[in-house]
Amino acid sequence: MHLALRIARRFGVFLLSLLGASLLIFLLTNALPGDVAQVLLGTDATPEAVAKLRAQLGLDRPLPVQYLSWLGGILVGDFGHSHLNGQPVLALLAPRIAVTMWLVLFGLLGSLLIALPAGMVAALKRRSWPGFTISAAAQLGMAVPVFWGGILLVLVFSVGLHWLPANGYVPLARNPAQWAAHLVLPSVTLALVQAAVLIRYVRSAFIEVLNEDYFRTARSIGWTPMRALLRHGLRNAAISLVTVIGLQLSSVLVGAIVVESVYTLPGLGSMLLTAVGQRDLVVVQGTVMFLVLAVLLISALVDFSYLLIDPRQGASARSDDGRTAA
Amino acid sequence: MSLLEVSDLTVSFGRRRVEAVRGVSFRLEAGQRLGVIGESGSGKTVTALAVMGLLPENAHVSGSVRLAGTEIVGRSESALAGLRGDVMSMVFQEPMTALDPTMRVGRQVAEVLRLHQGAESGRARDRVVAMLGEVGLADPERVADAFPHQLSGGQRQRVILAMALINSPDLVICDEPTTALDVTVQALVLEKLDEVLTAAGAACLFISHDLAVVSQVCDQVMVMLDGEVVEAGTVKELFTAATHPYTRGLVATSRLDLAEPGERLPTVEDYYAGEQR
Repeated sequence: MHLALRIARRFGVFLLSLLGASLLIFLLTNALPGDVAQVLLGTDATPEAVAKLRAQLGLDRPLPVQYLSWLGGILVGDFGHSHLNGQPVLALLAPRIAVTMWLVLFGLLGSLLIALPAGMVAALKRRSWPGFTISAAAQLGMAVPVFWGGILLVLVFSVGLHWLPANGYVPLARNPAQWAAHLVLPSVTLALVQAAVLIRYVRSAFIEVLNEDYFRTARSIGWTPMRALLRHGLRNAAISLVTVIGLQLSSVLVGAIVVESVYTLPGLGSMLLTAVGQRDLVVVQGTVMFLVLAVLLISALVDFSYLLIDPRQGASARSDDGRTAA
Repeated sequence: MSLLEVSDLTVSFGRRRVEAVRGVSFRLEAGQRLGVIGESGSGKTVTALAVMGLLPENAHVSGSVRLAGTEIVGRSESALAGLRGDVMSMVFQEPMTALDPTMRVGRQVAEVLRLHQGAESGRARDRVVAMLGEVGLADPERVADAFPHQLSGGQRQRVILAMALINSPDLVICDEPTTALDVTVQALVLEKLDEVLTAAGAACLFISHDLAVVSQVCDQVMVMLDGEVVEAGTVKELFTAATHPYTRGLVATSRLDLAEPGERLPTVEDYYAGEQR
């Protein structure tokens, strides 16, 4: 397929997914029980007062109208205003995006730093004790809930050893050292949990490489197994791993939301939880929409990263490719 | 001292120790070419992999494999890695999948040089292009810059030939190098193999199930059946005075020019019906 056509098609898929997601988010948040006007006015407000406030907030309009006006706003960069304090949703999101972004970035990098070497060793030594140990540890790691693992780390490194702060956040611009210190435990928590899942994928991707003919060729020219895997396995394994990592991004975001509440980080997750509690639907919709946008954007990028990793992808349609035919 | 001396080699696999090769012994002198012939499952490839030290982890090896006097069996992985690609090298059966699909073939050939000679990239590149020319690839510059998927099977197999020969090894093991190629390309690759082996003065262990192909490249032949060597000798001896019924069957099936029109062609089973099959 021609490259330009492929990019156009991928962009179309991106827009359609975004539209579908916006409809779903709108319907789901509106299906939630509870009413922001009731929350604002308190439980002893008269039905008339509640109805009046609903009209003021535009909540009495038919749902399709509400949806279209919300969607129209997003298209011009207006995610709406909070019902509770009238602030634009985007202004509320901005400072929190940075917190979550750092957490997701370090969590993902950390999980790769753990899972890549561990998964490689687990593949190479899959018939002896290092392989068994790593697989068992990964299995155990997957069974540990994020919040419990986080609390355990706090108990050891904050309460016990006093090495790192137990909670809170300091922006990078204010104090880089404090910023880093506050992010260590949350990132490690997220990384460990994600790594446990990732190790299994890394292991099977590398086991696949071990069974490939080119791996045997690499050994026959004088590479030791480990170096053959690094030299010829990494890039080939990356082709299948990139998909997994792209898919895992959404689970990293979910994990980040839990981790934020364990460490009381002022990120998107804690904002989302508060907004849900207060029935501030515009903020909920805006936040979820932003998260969806981020995930879709990154998975589109992941799709294009194949072009860089796999030379066969860039070539315009040699369908007689021996590897697929063989 | 022979270049390669295999004595009483036995290889078994797994916990149940299923034997794939039983008590195989042979010698190969420097520059000599020995064909190993037999059907699939007869232990040809396992014997070759044992010589390279490339058997899987669950293999149990006993007996001895000596390369220029050095014992291969039981040697450490890093010591063996130093020999592979330098003193001995291997050409595999499946050219379509034997090259790394994500790396330009020139770099893959250059890797063999750098691993053992520590050549700098500029000079390595010249050697690689020259070697690709020697194995009969037209436009070696372009081939060096190509990815495997951009080359045909015959071209890829010659790239692999170049990888196996660029360090002028003493021993080249070819495991059915032309089986996956069509007949015209097969003849071309065999011709080039013959040429480069002669030029390098390398000994060759040539594995095939095709007696005609073996007789084209080798002077000595060894016939394997169910993990054992049943007959060995020169190609001429085998064709004229084979003693084992299985070998006589092989010879008869390869001489189609002797078949009478209208008569049933001979099969190996006419001469030898194995006890276990």
